[in-house]
Amino acid sequence: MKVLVVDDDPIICDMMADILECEGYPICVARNGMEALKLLRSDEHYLVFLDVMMPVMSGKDVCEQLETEPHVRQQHIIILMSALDKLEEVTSCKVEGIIPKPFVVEDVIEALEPYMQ
Amino acid sequence: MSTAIWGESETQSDENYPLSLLKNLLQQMMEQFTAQGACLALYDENIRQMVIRLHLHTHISSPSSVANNIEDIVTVPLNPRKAPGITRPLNPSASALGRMRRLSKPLPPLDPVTLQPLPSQTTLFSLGEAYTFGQGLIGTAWRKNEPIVLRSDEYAAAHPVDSQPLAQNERVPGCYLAIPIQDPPMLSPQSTQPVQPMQPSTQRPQNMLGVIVLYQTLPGVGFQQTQSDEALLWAERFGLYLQNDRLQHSQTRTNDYMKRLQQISTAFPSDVILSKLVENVYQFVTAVVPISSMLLTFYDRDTKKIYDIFAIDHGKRLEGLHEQPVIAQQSDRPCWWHVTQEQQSTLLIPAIQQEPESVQQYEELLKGTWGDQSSAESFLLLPMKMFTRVVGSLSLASMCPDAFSAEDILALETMVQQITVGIENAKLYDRANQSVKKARQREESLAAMNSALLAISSVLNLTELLHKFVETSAKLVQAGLCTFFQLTPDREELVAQAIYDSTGKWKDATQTGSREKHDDLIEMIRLPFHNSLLAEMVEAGSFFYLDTMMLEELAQASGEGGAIFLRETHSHKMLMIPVRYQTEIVGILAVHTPWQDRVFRPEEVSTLLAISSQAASAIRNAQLFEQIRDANAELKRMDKLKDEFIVTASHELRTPLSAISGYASLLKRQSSRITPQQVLRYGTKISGATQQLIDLVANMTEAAKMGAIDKKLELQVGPVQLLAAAEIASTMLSINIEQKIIMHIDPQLWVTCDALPLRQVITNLLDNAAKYSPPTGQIVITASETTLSQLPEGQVDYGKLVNGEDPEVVLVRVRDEGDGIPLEDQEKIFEKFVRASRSLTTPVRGSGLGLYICRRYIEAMGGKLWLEMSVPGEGSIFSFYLPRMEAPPIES
Repeated sequence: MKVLVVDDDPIICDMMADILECEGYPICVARNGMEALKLLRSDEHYLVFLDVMMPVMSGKDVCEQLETEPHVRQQHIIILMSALDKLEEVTSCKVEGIIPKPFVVEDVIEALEPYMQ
Repeated sequence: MSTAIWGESETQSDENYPLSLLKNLLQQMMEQFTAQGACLALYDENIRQMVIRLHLHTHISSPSSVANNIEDIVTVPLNPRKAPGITRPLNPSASALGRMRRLSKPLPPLDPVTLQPLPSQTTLFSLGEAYTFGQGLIGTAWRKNEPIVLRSDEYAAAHPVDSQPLAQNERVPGCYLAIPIQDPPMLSPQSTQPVQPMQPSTQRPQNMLGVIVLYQTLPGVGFQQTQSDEALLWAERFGLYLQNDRLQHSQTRTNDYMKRLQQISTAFPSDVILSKLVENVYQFVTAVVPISSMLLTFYDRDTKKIYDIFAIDHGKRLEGLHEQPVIAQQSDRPCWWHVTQEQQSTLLIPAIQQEPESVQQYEELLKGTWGDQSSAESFLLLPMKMFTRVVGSLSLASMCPDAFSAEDILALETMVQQITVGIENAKLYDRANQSVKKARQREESLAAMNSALLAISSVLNLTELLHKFVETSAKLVQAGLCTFFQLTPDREELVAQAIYDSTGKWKDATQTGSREKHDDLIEMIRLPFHNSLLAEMVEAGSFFYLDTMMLEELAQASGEGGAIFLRETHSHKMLMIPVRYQTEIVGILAVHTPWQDRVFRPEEVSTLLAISSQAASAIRNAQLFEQIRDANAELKRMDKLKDEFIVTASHELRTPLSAISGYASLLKRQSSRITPQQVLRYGTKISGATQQLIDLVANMTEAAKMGAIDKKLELQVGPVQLLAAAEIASTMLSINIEQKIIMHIDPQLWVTCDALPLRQVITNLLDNAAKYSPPTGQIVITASETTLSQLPEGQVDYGKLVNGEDPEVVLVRVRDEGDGIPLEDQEKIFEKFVRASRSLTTPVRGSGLGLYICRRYIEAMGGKLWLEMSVPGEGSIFSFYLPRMEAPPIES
């Protein structure tokens, strides 16, 4: 299972990559929801760190789109990364976890570990 | 006495004279005294003589039938103006009738009066014959005041004049009995008169009414002295008859006076038509006295003028005097003044022709508006007295001598008193009426004004308020065109804000049909204020008129709209009312006079002034309200922007914070395993994020420090080389941009500004360009020198183009190849906390303060910053200019 980081902010993406590389996980990056969907529709299984606020296609939109594609959805683990004040907006999304921003490394590791054994 | 009957005229009838009664009595007396003839002479006041009024005598042909054959001679009283002795028949038909009915009748009863043929046939005691005091038998009886018995020879001896030759069939009376008729002593109306006009001393004993003469023609029969007493008793009966008759007449006359006076008095004060009153006076006067001329004069104490308002000159009325009275001053009429205002008493000149000195003395009264009355016989002036005040006079002139008897004067005085009271009442009534009317008008106008003011004050919408203001003003003074001009804040111009146009003049002038267009054109009407005649006149007073010349002068100084307004509305005069709030001019209310040369009445002007001052505060209120409303809306908008900013800012802050926190925890976690290269990398990331945070905080602080939009920024202005500034700026970019920056800037271009803000502006523009551009795009920064007037429309500060100057500027352009900015955001992006609407979902970082800060700086440095062009998908150009300056000499 690969880790997919979806964020429009290159700083965040870089940081996530640095963290996960140090932990020894394979990682790939998408800059928005649209790019992410392309990857998710492949055969690969991903654990997705999905940012909510993104241009082109937001994390929420991605979740809603995946509801209509259950066979795609069931291949992946999705963890939303959302600003604290936007948490309410995403509680309706059926996802495996939510990490509030800003986060620390432990948040990411804790969210990831149960699925990456 | 009865000859002095009031209202005596040429056509006097028998009713004024109890002839039939007297005849009956005389006949009875004849029988009693077996006289063959009897005559009755009565005192005629006008000629002051005894005049024969009745003459009866029996037919001589048959002495036995004395009682049955009495012929009587009846005539009317003499016209007093004719010479005594000439008689006149009652009227021609009556005379003819009398002639036909000349027949004998048995007595009593006495049948209709038979008239003797013309009295000329009767030589003895002929009708109408007059006797002076002591003249003839009658005059003697009058003088002696006792019965006289005379035989014919004695008579002939005593009165040779009377003993004329007799006509045929007449016999000389053998004996005469003359008895004076005394006035019964009681109830003499004259004795009660308070006013005794001056009269020549009478030649008649006070109480002598007439004289009866009985005579006998039959020979041998005479009157006995003893019969005198009996005769006196008869005379007394005559006296009573006459007195009774006189009283009756006087009563009738009094009734008539009363009736007429009542008629006059009922005309007041309800019916206050002066002309009608004057007419009544005239009718009354002509009914009372035989006047030829009349003059009614009023004295107006308030304006100290004397008015002749009615005049009859010898029976001819002076027309139009009531409408346009002859006006004189007190000094013009000293005599009138003396008689009316000082003597305040009735002036009577009974016989003008006999008193030349009176004519001389009172010449002023006799001549004037009513012509020349000095040829009149009698003159009467009645002052119109109200308590001690004389309000006018009634002057009367008559062609009859002594035309005004005491009784008449009394009646006239009563009448004059009455009309005086009436006129005064009428005046008071009129005054009261007028003040009531005025009060009511005032009340109405106040009510109208009040409701207008209420209407104006209740409106908080400025446009609606101004429209109401002009409409109300126009309607209150019936003006067709009313305009409100508002003074621009720089006091340069007056701009029309609202027009009320009931005449359609303005519409005609602009030739527009639709109201919208009409309203649009209103603001085109601009009048110069600063240094114009308006500014001068506004200072001069609370209101003023613009005449045709001033309007033209103003039109020449005005722009097209103002000139059309001033010229095409064809106004001859325009009332201008400066609308002031406290001492500050808010604007001017221009009211066209409704028609040529009309000037508004003072009440109208004061109404307009009142409404204007009220409107001024209402306008002020509305302006303040709008300001507050705008400010409130602005506050709300700012509040919303602030909220958005907080969201934006927190997002923007969160990203670098996430990075800092992430890397920090990574370093901690992996401290034992990571390589020095990794440490360096993480450290760099942390410091980059930290710098981003620092920049954001700096921007926010800077924007906050700039404060309100109108706050002046403190800058250190000096010469700045543009290229150097741009190069430094590009190195200061907050993000590591992937795009290429190309600079086309001449190193010789220098601008006047503060170097630090300029760098910040350029950095910001480059940052923005980079943020919104794809990584492969180019960012081009160019600079060129130009002049202010060459800049695009809308960016030129016309305030700097005055006096023919056209300052040199440097125009800087920053072009990117980004997405472009949506049209709806193109102006907003320069505002505080605003970013292009998609920015929250774009990867663009920023506080939303950059362009706001840039614009503030550029404007503070005498330039402008704007979005020159933005095409979706192609890119945008942001431009700014700054004042150019020559390159300073290079320091060694």
